[in-house]
Amino acid sequence: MNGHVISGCAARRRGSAILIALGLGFVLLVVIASLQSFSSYRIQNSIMENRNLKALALAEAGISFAMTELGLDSSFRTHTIKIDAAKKELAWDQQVDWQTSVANDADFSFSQQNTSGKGSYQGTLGDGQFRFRVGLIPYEDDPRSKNIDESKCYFKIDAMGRVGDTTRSVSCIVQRRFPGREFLMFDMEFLSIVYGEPGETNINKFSTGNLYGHKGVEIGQILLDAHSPTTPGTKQELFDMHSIISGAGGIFFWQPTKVEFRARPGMPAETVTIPPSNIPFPSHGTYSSPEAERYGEVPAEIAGKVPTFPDSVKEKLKGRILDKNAMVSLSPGTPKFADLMMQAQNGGKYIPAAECTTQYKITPGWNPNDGDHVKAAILDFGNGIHKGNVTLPSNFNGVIFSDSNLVIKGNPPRDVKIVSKKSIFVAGDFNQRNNKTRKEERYSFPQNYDVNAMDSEDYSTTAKNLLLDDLSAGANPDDPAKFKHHFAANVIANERIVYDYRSPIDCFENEIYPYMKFALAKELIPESDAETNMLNISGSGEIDADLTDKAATKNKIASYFEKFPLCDENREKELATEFSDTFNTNKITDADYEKFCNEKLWDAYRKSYETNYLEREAGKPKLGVYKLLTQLRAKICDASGKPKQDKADDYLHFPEMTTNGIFQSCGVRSNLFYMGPDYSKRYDEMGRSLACVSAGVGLQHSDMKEMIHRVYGSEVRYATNKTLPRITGPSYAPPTRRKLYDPTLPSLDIGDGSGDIAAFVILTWKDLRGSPAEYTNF
Amino acid sequence: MRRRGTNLIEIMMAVIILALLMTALYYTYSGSRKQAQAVMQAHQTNDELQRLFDRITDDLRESNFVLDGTPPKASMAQAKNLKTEDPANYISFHKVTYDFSLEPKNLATDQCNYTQLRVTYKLEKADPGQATGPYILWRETLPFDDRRQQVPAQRARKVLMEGLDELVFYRLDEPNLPTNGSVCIRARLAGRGKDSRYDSTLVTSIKERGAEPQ
Repeated sequence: MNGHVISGCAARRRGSAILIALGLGFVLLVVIASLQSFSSYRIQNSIMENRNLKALALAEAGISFAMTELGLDSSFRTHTIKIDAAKKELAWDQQVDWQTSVANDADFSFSQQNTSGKGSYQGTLGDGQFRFRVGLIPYEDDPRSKNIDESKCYFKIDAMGRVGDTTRSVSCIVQRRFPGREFLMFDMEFLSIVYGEPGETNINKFSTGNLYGHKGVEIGQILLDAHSPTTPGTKQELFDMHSIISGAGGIFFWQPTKVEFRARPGMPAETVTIPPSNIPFPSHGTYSSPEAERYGEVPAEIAGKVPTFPDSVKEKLKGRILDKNAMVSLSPGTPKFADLMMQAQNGGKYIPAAECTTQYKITPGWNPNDGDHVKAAILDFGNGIHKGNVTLPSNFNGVIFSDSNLVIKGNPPRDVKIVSKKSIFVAGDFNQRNNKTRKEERYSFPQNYDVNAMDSEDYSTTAKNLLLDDLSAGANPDDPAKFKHHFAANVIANERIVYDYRSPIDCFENEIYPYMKFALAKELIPESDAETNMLNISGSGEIDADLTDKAATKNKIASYFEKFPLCDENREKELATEFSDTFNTNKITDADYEKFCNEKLWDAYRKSYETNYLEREAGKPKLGVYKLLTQLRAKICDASGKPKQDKADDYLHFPEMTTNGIFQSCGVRSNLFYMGPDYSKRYDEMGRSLACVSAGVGLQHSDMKEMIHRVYGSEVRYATNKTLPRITGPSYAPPTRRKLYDPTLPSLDIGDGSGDIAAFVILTWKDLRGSPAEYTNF
Repeated sequence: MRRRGTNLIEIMMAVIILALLMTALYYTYSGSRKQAQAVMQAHQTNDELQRLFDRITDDLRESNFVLDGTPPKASMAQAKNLKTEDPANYISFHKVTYDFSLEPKNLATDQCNYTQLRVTYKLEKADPGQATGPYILWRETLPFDDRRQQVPAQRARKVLMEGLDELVFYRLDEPNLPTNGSVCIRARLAGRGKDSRYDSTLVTSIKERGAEPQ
């Protein structure tokens, strides 16, 4: 019975257990179901979010790869693009053949293949893939923008990223920017426009286009000397500016500076006196070391700072002064020297170091290894007055490459890239040809001004148009009807581009030469006749005089050489004899006189200069060329030394060294360079200083107000070569400067594969969702 | 032997035990459910904020330039003290749309091949009488024509989110950080169910991708 009772109780307990178990089971089920539902929602959500982010990152990686490919090869395209005018849309059109420049990288699981079958570039990164397309937008050049050829600068890039079934896409428009073709001055360090000397009243003028300083920009008058106050000096003025851009730092104006901005669509022309920066230059700034202070360090007080402008000028500067917040940081990399060398070796002109044997004099402290000289090859392309020494191969491809230093001057006969693994000394007028069939261009490009060389920032419109006409020149650049006055000259140095003012015979040849003809004629005919015949464009060029008395003629020539010596008495006598013998007549024709002056007299001066350039008497230069230069100045300037009103009907031009081209250098700053409105800044230049006299480089032939150095084109400094030795001594005295943008640059010889170094800026960006099907079909 | 049946007391005891058990189970279930709801609500709040952030960051990423001074600069320490109701707490930027179907030769002197849209995000108190939030986030748009002139007639304004407890914009001023110069957004949103104990705070940074038209 007990057993039954026990079993009855057990049965009852079993019944409860079932109920309890069922209840607990139910509760557990509910809890597990809730947790499962919640967790799976969270997990799914996290996975989706993660994939979305990854896919977007992959699409962005595609954009970056596209821009890298374009940076390495600006002719890179995967497709052509057509414009759907009705929908105002861009559509992908034909596939084009392409090759990659970016190498695969197993370390990062990165590889790219053209396996999409649609012509898109495809790559894998981690557990995802990306594809992208690149195409040039078929747009016409906008004639309103002087600095940009719009037909070659807009690209569409679409990229898709995919992780599993999650797809994202990015569509953007990118602008290709050519520093050498778009910027008047482009500096990957701090762009400093502080030129001149203390106590001077001259003005340096910078005209047209864009200025860019990657780490900042400073513009100002000379106020300090080695960071101590000095007499205020040379000022800077900016004209026809499009924009002043800084990639990373601020844009500093040290004094009120007049800047003329050009009109742009929707933006009228503005002339603004930009007030001094609200972050002044610290007079006793903080530098990491005295050495750093001397060599260009930006004081801590202004480093990385971005000045703001008062509201009164802010609106006018909008879109024109672009600092680091404007997303315009450009980093174009470095020239491809290996490729350029190969091009020079195959159809170009290659100059190995062993052929660079001329010992080119330099000042102390310039080169620690070669003492008072550097070894260089001289490339004198010649000009309208003298013949050069450069022989180019037949079917020349336009590339000249030297393993060592180059000295260049004269007018290249075609588009050319002149490249040096070391430095390039630009030692005279460069790349400004003259059409000798036109009387006004008989000796040179007509360097005429509306007022004069000092007061006008640029040539007269008539003269400027001669250079603009070069864009429509025919296949034959020497065709008198469509004469090409300058070519696309790319001058690229792995170290420095040095402007070399030492030689008046190279810097001012076209200015001195007609004056020399006049000076000699003055000995033979009355001065007024000499002036009319030799200096006026309409002049006959003849010597109308009785020269049958040879002895008398010889005396007259000797008298000329007393005033303008060759520093070679024998040669002077030979020339006097030759002249009196040749022209034993009543009249010398224009052609005969020109022949003698050019082939005999001027040639003698050029040859004499090689050995006698340092000759002095009574402390002044003795060689006739220097004296001719002095007298030329006296003729075209008033008593105070200021140039008179320029005349377009004569051959008298203010002494000007003119260098036309894209000058690109890679060296970092290695010379004395005090930041701020400071005179103690040395640029890469040589000539006309006391240091040059004592070093045997050349004499002081002009002071700052007596000559102009005109850079017509652009200057680019990549600052990628950081191994340059310091220059520890002075090497030049500054000229008055004109840096003018050449508006033909955007179009002159700019093929897709021209090798121009480019940087790319994203203009528009769109994030979009995508589907696996879209990815497959992309 | 006659089997003894279940008496009333036993049944009542079973019912009582079952009732107690069910009550306990109910409370356990109900508590879990509430907790799950609260977590879901917080998550939903978080999702709402995330969606808002996605919207704003997508918008900003597509912009070409942010107007000077908007938003104000702030270091990380300064950013903690930024207030939603500060009148400087807004961001204005331009998005540029190019039209390459316009040929340059056909453009007027002052005509561009692009138009612009100025987008402004700003906050207003839901109840102007209150000292603080909640706040309403507005997205205002002002188109510019292809002469770079404003088109006020096409100005538009719409609410992006209501009930925000905090939203501040600032441009990060930390020169040593990689995100220096980025636009940062910090927002807080309280849950909006019956139980609003849960809220969510998000911070993000974003950089405009485009560039100012040249």
